Amino acid sequence: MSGWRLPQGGRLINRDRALSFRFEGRPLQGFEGDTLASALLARGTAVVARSFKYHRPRGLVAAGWEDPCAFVEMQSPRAEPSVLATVEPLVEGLQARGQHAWPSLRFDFMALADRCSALLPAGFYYKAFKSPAWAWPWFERALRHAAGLGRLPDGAGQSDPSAYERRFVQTDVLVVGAGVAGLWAAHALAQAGARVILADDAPEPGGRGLDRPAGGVVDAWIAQTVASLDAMPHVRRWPSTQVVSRYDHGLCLAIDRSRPGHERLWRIRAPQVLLATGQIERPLLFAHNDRPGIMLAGAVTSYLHRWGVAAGRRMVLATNNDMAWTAAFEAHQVGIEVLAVADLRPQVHPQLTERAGALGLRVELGARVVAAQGRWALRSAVLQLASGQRLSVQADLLAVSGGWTGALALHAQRGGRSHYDATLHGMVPENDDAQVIGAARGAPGTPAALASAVRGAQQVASALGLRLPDLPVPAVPSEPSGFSATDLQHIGKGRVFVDWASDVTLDDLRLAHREGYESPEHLKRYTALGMGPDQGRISALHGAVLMAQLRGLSPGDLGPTRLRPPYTPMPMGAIAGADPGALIRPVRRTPMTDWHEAQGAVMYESGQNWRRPGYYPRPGEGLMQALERECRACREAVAVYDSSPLGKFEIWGPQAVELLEYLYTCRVSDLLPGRGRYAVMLREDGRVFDDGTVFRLSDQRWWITTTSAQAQAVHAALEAALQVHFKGRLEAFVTPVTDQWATLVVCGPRARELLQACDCSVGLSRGDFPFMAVREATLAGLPVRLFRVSFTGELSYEIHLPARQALALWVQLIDKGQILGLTAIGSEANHVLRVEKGFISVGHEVDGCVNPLDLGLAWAVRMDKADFVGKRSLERDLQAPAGRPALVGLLVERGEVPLEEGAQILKVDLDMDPRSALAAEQASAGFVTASVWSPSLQRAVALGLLEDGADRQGQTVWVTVTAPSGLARRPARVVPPVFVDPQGGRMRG
Amino acid sequence: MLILTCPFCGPRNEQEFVCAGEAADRPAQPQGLDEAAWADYLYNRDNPDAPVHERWWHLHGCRAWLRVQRDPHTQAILDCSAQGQP
Repeated sequence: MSGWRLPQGGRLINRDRALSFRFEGRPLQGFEGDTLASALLARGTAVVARSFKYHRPRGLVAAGWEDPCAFVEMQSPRAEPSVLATVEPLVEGLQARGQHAWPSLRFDFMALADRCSALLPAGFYYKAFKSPAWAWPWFERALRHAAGLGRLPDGAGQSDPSAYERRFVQTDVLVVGAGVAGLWAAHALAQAGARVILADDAPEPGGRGLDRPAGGVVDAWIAQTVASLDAMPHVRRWPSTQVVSRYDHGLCLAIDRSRPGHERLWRIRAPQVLLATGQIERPLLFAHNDRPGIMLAGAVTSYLHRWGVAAGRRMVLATNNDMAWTAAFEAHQVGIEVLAVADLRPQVHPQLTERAGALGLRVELGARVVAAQGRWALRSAVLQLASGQRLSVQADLLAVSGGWTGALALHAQRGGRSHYDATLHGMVPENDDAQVIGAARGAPGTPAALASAVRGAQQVASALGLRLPDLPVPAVPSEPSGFSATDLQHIGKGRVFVDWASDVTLDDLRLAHREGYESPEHLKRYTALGMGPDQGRISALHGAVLMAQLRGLSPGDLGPTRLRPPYTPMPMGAIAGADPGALIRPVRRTPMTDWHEAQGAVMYESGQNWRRPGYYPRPGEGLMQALERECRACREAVAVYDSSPLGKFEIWGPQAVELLEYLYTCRVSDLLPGRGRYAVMLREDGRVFDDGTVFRLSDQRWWITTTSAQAQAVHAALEAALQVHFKGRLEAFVTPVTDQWATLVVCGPRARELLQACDCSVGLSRGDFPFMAVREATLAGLPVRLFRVSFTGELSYEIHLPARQALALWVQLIDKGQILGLTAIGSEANHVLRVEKGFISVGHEVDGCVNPLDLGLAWAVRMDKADFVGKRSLERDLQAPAGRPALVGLLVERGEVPLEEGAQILKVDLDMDPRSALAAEQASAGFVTASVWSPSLQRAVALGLLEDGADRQGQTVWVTVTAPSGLARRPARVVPPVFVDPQGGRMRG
Repeated sequence: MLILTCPFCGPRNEQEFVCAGEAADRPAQPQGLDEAAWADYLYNRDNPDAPVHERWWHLHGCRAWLRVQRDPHTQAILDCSAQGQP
């Protein structure tokens, strides 16, 4: 095509402001108001892209979002791949180039794929590249390189310099689309008093009214209505804003693209939604129907009237419907030579043939295009006339129109149904909670569109309890509107492109049908029809209709595939809004987190968004050296760690004991004030859900702790027990205090000395303060609660105090502990210490599949209680204990490296290689739950869950190990699950 | 994104709540049930093509456990009421 700029006209452009830009390095000029596509077309650029699979040259097909190919790489003012040229506004200094072509758009090495197209049908990658299997990594690399669309800009790993915004708004009605129907409905509802948001993705209102010559009744009405709307304070009119998603309960997402690169995302709650989204045209199907120079007829008029651009000099119109004829008439008016109008139908509305005759245009009825020639730009179109004779026409623009269908994506996203209408040959919506009005309703022509707008507005008004005023409906003459179907028999031989974005041809559809991928959803996934960035806007209906015909059904029997939000691509930055980086997911910090970071601790994220110290490396230390030092300090001197994320709850009331007896497996009613015990909570299926402690502070006050990761889940369980199980009858009350109380743990043989050095106000001797007791005291002048609880297996005091005082106490402990050899330890050291003791941890040994008996915690379960959560399921487990996993210790030879956490323990009598052993069912007898290097014992120790582990003490088992060649195995000995101080004397002393 | 009308707090976004799935009342006498009946309570849920009864917890609000009846086709909330006394 050789497009050119008309000397006048163009509603959206400002001819007083010229803009310079570059495409593929060529300096060009356009006007303010142009899109990149209209400016390129005006300068005669024919090819803007190469197709996805075959790298065929592609030109401009449409004038808006429905274009399947016009994706270019923007270089300036922002670096972004896959920018749609037909909607991207032109700015001064814009630089862009074609993407998906190497080395350039003009000479693309990958165009070889088009020559080998017979080897690359749809789904070729399912059948090829299977052997030799060892070569797959090479194939994969080549395929991945070829299969992308666009390139990430340099420095893509760094943060996006653009700023986005995310805003929230509530309204009464959201009207999508500011065409005639949308404007009328918005205006009427606004006059009735409703809060209205009117969103349209074009910079100017009017919808398809913009594709008509300026001036006239409709234009005047549009201007008047817009002025009236803009004067009303309760109306928001948003140009360049596209509603892309509809969710439940009136939630809609809209993207304001008035500043590309700085999009604004609107989250709108609108109980009433009116969809006036208009229609989308589709092309005709014939051999090589994707040549540059073939454009949708509606797009020809769009370029003409919106931007004053003629898409070619010598035009042929091929169509199967009445509405496309305006393209020929208007092209003729501006000086494009219209060589022929070819309509598939043998008869058309006489008004059209008369007008064509008056303009001197050649009309061929019952004629169709059979081929288009010209690889880089259209040279000629070959028509087959009704008589059977072939006619070759030298043209540089072939305007095609294969029919229209409603743009029903937003309707379909909420499950709205539509059916194929045999008269209109397009999809027509059925009723839904949102009203579809206007041309999208399927009713062709402006009068019918307005009638549906009136009906839709009335329904919304009555739903809102408002009365619509009597607004006049503009009188617009109706136009002829006849359609005909896409029919397989009208499509000739050759490479007929059905989906241009994914290079899907009619032969691919036939292939899919032959191979049994008959439903549109299977067709889509198998051939990739409709999976491109355009999501099948101009191709999906063709695919459904053609597949129906291949299967011998009527055209409307198969609907197009289900559409999901969003309608068009939106930048991830807009979803994040102004909260990128650390603000997206706030991290929880304890009063000591700053201190940990200042000490150079390596920080981990754990549990429920907590930021915790893993270990505190001194200069020159790595993880293993730091661990050695920290663990030794705890076992030999004294250590302190920050356990503030520990879940904590205060439970009080006369019947609090009933609540606790119900949720925990142990007995609590016999606890005296000042005493506590280790407590396990189960799910109803008997599996361990959480472990912690229960302490009785006074007759009716209790203090429970949980693991930090399960704090919220335990909270839910406590409240569910009170409100759902006990139906609110219990006089018991729960207060979660995880964040309000900090927990500092002092542990090690010299722990007593440290507390005494801090002026502890209570006696710390074994008689005064036994194991699993609680004391209220002051420490360094601060009121605290001291719990003698040990997670490390050493003499240990959990200090609970209000969070705002915790840092002061921590600093005191650090200071007073210097001479005692006090070391701050992190979660890594904690892990090593508890594994040495065989203490379980939720997430390692507690994997959701074990009950407390498997874990050796029968002493914590009182089956003689009348009822507790999980008791019924435990009874069943007790009856069938064979084959259940048991907690065991695993030892490898001294000097060997530790086992891998998660390694599988193989059944002992299996003598296959590990990979086939694991492939065979039930080859695993358990797995390694935790494995560490023990500084106390100077050897590797591990814990695991092993089937019938209690009966297998002393046996040697095979454990898998990851090796360069795959999986290997190594022996380990089953031992009791405790390695340090089995009697527990150190923590009880 | 649903809007749930908490009986104590009014209409709130779904993000304030935690969904605990289909409501199933714990049998009053678990000990008296045979294995099949207990397994049925533990693992089987109805999944009817009809409004479902669910339990939601208003975590970021009043922390009430709510009984919600929801139409799985239209996502309309037919009922949202408290379980026991708060």
